[in-house]
Amino acid sequence: MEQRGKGKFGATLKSQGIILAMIVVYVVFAVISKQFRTGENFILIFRQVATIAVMGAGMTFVIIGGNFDLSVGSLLSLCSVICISMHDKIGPIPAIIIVLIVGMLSGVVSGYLVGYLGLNSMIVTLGMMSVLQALAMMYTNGQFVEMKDSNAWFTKIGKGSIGPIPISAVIMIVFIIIMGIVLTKTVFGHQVMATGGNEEACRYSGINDKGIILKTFVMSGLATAVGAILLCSRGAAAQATIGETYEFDVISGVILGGASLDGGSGSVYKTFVGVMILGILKNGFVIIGLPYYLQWVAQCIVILIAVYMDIISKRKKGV
Amino acid sequence: MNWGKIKSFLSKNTIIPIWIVFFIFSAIFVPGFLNVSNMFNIFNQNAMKGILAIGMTFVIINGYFDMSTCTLVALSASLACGLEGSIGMVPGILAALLVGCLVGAINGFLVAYARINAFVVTLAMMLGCRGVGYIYHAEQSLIPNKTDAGWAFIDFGAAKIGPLSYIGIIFIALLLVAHYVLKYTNHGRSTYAVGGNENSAFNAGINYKRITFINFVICGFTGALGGVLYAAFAGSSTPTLGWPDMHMLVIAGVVLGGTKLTGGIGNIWYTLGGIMLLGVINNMMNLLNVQTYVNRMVTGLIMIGVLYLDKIIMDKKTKKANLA
Repeated sequence: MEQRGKGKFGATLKSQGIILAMIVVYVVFAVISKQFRTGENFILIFRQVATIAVMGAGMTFVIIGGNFDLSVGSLLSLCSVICISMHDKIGPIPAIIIVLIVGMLSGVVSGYLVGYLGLNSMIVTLGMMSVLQALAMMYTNGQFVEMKDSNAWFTKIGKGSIGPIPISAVIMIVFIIIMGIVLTKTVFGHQVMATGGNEEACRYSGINDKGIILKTFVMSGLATAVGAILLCSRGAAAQATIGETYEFDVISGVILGGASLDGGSGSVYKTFVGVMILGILKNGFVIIGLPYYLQWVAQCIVILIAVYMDIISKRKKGV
Repeated sequence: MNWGKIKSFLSKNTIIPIWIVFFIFSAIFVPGFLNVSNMFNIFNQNAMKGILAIGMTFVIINGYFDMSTCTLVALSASLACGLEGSIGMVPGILAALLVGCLVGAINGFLVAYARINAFVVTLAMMLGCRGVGYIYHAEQSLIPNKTDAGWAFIDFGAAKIGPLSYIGIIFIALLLVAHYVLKYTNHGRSTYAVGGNENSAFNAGINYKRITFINFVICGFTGALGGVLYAAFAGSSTPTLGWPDMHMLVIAGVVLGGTKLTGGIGNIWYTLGGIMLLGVINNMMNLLNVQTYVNRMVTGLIMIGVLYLDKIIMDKKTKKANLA
């Protein structure tokens, strides 16, 4: 009996190893630094990762579907500048709606090119990255855009908090829970898993695999738009390069979360944990006063170790 | 020459008709495009990117790709500039190249022997190289010391024989070497085999792990060489050199040429065509005084368009092959 219990515990530990890793990273920093282990800092980390975590939830869908979306960084810039400049022109609610539509439209375009025309997702989204970045530049003329009233209620989305909990963290958690339910509990979620696992088998069993791939990109575009709202409302300003290189952080988070890059498996919640690990590292490095660029080296080592451990445990299981 | 032969040649080398169309289009509509000095200018400007693309071609034919090139360029450029004061110019350059090989070897080891996904490995190495590059730079630009060796290094980047720059000549030489290796050596043929189907390559007795490892080392080497030449060309190095999308432009150039990301198909001349196509587009935009970001957008759109065209042509060919 005891043996079996132990085995179960071991299995849980293995499947949830990423959470353990997060706790270890947090504890290490907490032991080193007094400022790090304060409650305010704990909450600050949530505020800092909100954008990346939301985008990561969308990216998880794309990666489970067996593709990449490298355009999210540029899309984040475009959505942010549109959101800020539209806020003063037509009001906050229409601005938010427009941004969500822009995000989904961009997803439709890349999804169509990848799903229906069958082009390689990496090159397509790379092309989209250039196009969206250029659109953001053209829209702003390379200028910094900011809101006239930096205390409008719109900025509360990023800056405000309910009691001690930041509103952006609440939005992030709600969004991630919804995305998680969509992935694990709905037909669409199962179809995404199936498409990523084996596209051909899916087609023969009557799933519209092309449509599914398109929808995964729409999910990613939508998530990026939500991320942009969280990001630009926090600063009440944006510029056309605000989202540069976010795609690498987002993809790193998804990889740490254990989603298979060949498609077919992954979890929105674990992606969140992966993003959190990177967020804790980033925050911790700044607080202990190490140069911020050391975080990239740490990120490199953490990713490689995590993926290697994952592979070893899979090999042991004989998968 | 009969028409059928030409047609089949063109449908195999889709980059040639695409290139010709762009070339004729810019020759007609872009003033100042069609003259000899501009042609050499395009070639010389893109030679460095081409050198990066040569190594990338090996890896892509092998069925993988290398994202770490972009920051490796900055790292090796900084080593070439910065080590001059302590150990001299030539050892500095050798050290930079060695670091490139080392990064390639780490990539290759993790991909081939530890069987980790190439995207993950090279993404992680990209971040790692970026961090190390910044640490070495300490967030400043590095310039070679104003000694004889330093000047010789900078002169090398600017020197020309006739219309061709030294860097262009190195590019041509590397193209020929790469062509020889891919076509006539055991390693080159095995690369195609491994890229086409790893399992059958293994069954045919090819040590696919070693082949993959060597290809990543080649890619690291050319990445470092490209970085050193960038440093020589610019006379300095900055930590942001190549960031964030150099590797993407290089991969795009290779893929536009017709080398398949799925592996097993491609050759070095495709790469030359793809890189020069991006070069022609860029040059055309510059001559037309188009703003940089419009330039970026058009490049992006053309990238998607060419990929689509290539796909249509390939589909037609496979359909024909199925009917026959």
